[in-house]
Order: sequence, then structure tokens, then C-alpha cells
Amino acid sequence: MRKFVLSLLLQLPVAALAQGTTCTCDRDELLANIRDAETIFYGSIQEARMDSADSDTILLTLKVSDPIRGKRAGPVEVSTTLPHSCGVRAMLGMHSLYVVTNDSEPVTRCGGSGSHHYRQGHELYDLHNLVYALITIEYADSDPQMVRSWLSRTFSKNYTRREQMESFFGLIGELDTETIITVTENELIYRNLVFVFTDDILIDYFWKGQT
Amino acid sequence: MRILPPILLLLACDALACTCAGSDLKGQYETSSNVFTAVVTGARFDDDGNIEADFEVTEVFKGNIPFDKLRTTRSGTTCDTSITVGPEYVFFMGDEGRFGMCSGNKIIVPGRPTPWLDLLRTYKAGETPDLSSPWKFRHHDGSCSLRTDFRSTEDAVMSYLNMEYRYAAPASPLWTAERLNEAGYSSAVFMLPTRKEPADATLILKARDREFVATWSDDALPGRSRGAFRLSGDDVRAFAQALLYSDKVQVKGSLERYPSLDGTVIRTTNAGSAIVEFVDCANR
Repeated sequence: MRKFVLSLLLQLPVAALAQGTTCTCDRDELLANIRDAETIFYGSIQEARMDSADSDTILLTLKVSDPIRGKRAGPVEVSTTLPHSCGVRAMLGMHSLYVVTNDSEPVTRCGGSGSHHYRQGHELYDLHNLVYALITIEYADSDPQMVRSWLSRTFSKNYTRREQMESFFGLIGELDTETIITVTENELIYRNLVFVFTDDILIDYFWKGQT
Repeated sequence: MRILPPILLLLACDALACTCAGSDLKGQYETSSNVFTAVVTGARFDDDGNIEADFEVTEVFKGNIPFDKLRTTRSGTTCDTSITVGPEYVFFMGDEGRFGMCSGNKIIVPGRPTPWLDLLRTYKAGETPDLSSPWKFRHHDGSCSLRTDFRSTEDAVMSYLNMEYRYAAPASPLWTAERLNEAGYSSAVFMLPTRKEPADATLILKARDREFVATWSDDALPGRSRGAFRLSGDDVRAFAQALLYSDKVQVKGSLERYPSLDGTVIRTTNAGSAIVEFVDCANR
């Protein structure tokens, strides 16, 4: 058995690329912001408008499709900045991760919000599973079915490589610093969630105590 | 009820993918009664899932913009589109202010090249005869080249034609294939968004009642994992000569990966002196 070791690569600053604008973020600050955030959810933009008092600010009305932490229902109103100021792209209907530190702070890509699963630059690669990581952390104990449903969108049995899972759980380890992730020759275990590998390929995952 | 602008009538949608009846900038301009740039300042869904957006016009190229909202109508297909609040767009619209996936609207990204916007501006200023793609001639390290972009008739994917004539060996050889560095080397490469075609695939290029046959070549550009159709040798000069006296090149060919190319027209009307300069260079 060996303790899971985070890749040094994960400590590098990241450049979030979206809509053709480069936004350089500090990776550690981004992850710290997510750890401290009051409200995190996956949702879509129902209404957006430029703030008449500040042309760099866009006011968003969001529909929560998957609550992750904090507020669970009803429309959420947040502000963001224009993309060149690291704001979230204000495309109507687009689903994104929203990380709300508090109601008065704008949501930004450097705060963890945005569509990280669109791989738009290699610097972002290890964050493209951010929403899956957060769903796994928040629901691993309470709703395994939900975690299974989400993970099946990005990890496939008999296809996903062990290094991909280790990268994913490296990210989880940074966000959930209280849980020890154990890696054995054939298994990766996070809480009650067990991933099984053969020849470094994911062949199964299950919850201990559940069939 | 008003009818949709012509460009929207060209939509061909199915349940799996949205296929737009594409058009180049010239075609988009001609089939749109309003062409303008604007910042989208707000947008919302209505109860039916359609989008209504507010905008502030920043520059007008055509029309008087007789609408105060931009609107989409959901079709329930992959041709449904959205809009982003904040950026500036170039809009091509009819008189209803409706837009869709195939409207040809483009976001202007600060710091990124906007050749279509540049062309609209030069056309508006009377500096170019029309909105077809410009041709560019240049000299570089022992060779001269002529290049233009073009689009197929049924989609919006940009392709390009690049002709080259090497009149002297380069001071700094770029290519590992020696023949590309030899004086006298010439080529006309039609670079399309297809990486693989049958070895015997051809494109027929008709200019000034003469037909040229470009053949598929996997190694047209060394170091790139894609092929291209190309003319070579004397055909390059003859093709360039034919361009001098033709206002367009008609492309015929039935490609496995890019069937919409058949019938594409490459216009030469916005070439200025570029073709003449290339012919002069290739005849030196």
C-alpha cells in the first residue's frame, strides 16, 4: 500500500482560457476559494444583463440543476465580470460550475466558476474534471447513485487508465484535505468508493457495503 | 406573419446535427438586410424557451436595423443557438432581428484577428470592389506565394488555396524534403478540412474554360498530419495564368470527407494586383 502522492504538476499556476481571452489564475487560490465557498452548484444562465452602473459587470440569474454545497433550490442571482477580467462566459442556457464565496463577490473563473470541462488549454487539463470531483466529494457518502451517474459521464470501465483516475483523485485530495485516499496495487479507495484496476485500466468501481 | 430572411430559409436541420447552408462573407452580406456590429447588453429566456436579447449598435454596414430586440425561435433541433451577454458581435440579420445557428453572426474577441470585420470596413470605405476573400501575394526567402481563403457551399469551414513558386534556394531551408527547397519548385495547395481521402481522389478546378486536376497528396505539407490537394509543375503556372482572365474558379470533386466542396466557387474579384504579381514572379 502506498500513500497517494500529489503530482507536482498540480501545484503550477494555471491559465484559464475561455472565449479567446487568457485569464491567468493562481491554482492554489482557486482551490482554496472552492474549499471555503459557501455555495457551489452546477447550473445554467436564465438571464444575463450588463450592469448599467458598471460596464465590466454582468448580472446573472441562474437555475440550479445540481446543488453541490449550500443553497439547494430556486434561482440564484450572482454577478460576474467580462471574460477579459476572468469572468464566467455569460451565454444563455450554458451549464457551468458556480462557486459563490459570498453574495457580494462576483463569480470568476479564478474562483473556480466556469466550464472547466471544456478543455481549452493543457494548463487547465487537471481542472477539467472539477465538477465531477466536487460532486464526488459532496455526495460520496449520501448519494452514491448520483456520484455514479456523474462519474459514468467521464470515466468508463475497460477504457479509463489508472493515471487518469489518479490525476482525478489528486484533485479530490487537494479539495478534500481531511480524507486519506489510499492506493493499492489494484485499487484506489476514497471513503467507501473503490475503483478496481487490471493492467492499469479501470475495470470496475463500487461502494463498499453495496452491491 | 413575416417570412424569415433568406439566409435562415437555407437551414437544413436534422435531429443529430445542424447543417447550415453556408455562405461566404459576400453571400451573407447579400442575403442579409441588416449587417452591423453591436454589444449584447442583456438576454433572457421567455416562457417558451426562446431568447430575447438587448443590444447597442456600434457600427452599421447595411440596413437601418428596424428592430429593437434580437430573438431566437427554438426549433428543438441542434440548430437552436444561444447568445452571450457582454461581447460585441457582427450580426447578419433580416428585418425581424431573428438569429440562429446558421445566421453567420460572429463574436469579436478583443486581440484576435477579425478578417471578416476588416473586409466589411474596407468594403464600406470603398477600398475593395466586393466582399469576396482577398488574395495576398508575398515574397519570402527565395519564393513567392499567392494565397486566398474560401468556403464550401454547404458549410462554414474555411479552407485555403496557397500557390508557391520557388525562384531561388532558400537561405534557411525549411523543409526536410529537398525538392521543396529547389529553385523552380512550384505548387498550388488546396488545404481543406479533410485529413484523409482515397489516394486517387481528385479535385477539378475550372478557370477560364480550362480544367486543372489537383490530386490528393498526404505529404503536401511536411510535418503536418494532414494531406491536401495539389497542382504541381507547369500546371501551377498555367493555373495562375488562367486566374488572370477569370473572375472565379469553380471547384468540382466528390470527396469522402468533405462532400460539400463540390460546386464551391473561389472568387478572384478581390485579388487586386496579387495574381499579376504572382504570375510575374512565376515567369521570372
